[in-house]
Amino acid sequence: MPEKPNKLMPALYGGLIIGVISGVPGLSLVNCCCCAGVLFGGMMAVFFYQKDLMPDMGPLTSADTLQLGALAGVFGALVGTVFHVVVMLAFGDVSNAMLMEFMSNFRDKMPPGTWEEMEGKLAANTLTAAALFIQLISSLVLDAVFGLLGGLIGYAIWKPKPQVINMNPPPPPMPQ
Amino acid sequence: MTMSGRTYAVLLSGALLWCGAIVAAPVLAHSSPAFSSIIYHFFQPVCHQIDARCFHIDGAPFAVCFRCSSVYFAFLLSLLLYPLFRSLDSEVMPSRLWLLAAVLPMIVDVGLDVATIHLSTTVTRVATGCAFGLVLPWVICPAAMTGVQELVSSTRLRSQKGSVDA
Repeated sequence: MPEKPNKLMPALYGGLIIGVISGVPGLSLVNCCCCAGVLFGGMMAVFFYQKDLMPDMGPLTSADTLQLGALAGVFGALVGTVFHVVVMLAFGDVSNAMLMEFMSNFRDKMPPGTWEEMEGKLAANTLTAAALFIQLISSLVLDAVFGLLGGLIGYAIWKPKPQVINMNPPPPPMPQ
Repeated sequence: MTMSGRTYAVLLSGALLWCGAIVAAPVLAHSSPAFSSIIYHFFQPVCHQIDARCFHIDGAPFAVCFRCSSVYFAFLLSLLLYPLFRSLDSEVMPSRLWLLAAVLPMIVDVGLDVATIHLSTTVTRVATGCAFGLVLPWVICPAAMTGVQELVSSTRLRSQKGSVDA
């Protein structure tokens, strides 16, 4: 039986998806829905891997998807952090500006003082080495966990169908 | 304890810690504001944390919103009930249609809210979040347990083969 394909490239593709969704301002709001972007990246890593699987290589297993999802999460955290730094350096704090614009839709539903508190917190967010390091560590943990969960969900979607065994009795021998 | 038992214990501990932290943030908001702030910051990447859309304890919001809280707490509840209805060694997974049925209401609710066609309410957020959270363990547990079992077996095989070759 030939060896199964390398998991690195599918995990990298999934990580790129996670990184782009997490790092691009506006698009990162998707992760507000329980890290939907990270789950999606983990699922896509499984999708790309199962496309490379040939029938004689053995079926997709949940062990494969665990590794793919976790790896995709790690790559996603690294790519997302790089994206975040590039966007901050090139365009300034666009992400927080977009977030404030989104939140302004709910300003009248907020208790008094909440909007001002949010403005203050977001204004205090600056790109320092310490903040970046903390963000990277936090992303590595969260993206690896949610990427792994995404991989498991991907297994539920793309797992191989159970083979149907022919239970019909063999035909009777021909009379001589 | 079997490997499946250990995997279940890790999953359950993780879920308890996660849900515990969500509730600890508001509980510690007055007594230990610095620690509470760290917890709020930790959950910032995974939730918008809009105050008006969060459960509250003693005037302080949960670390995540109604929908996220419902997903996580329903996940924990379903995870606690899992061994009562299915063996930990079972590889049976529900059909993909169950997963679709669980996630579709949430996608529709969020999509219609963002498009301002229909505004989500607390009830719709909690209901759709619970639906997703309740189904997820039935999909994740069998896959996680067989996956960990396979990884451990293949690691042991490789180390045995390595020692034989040596």
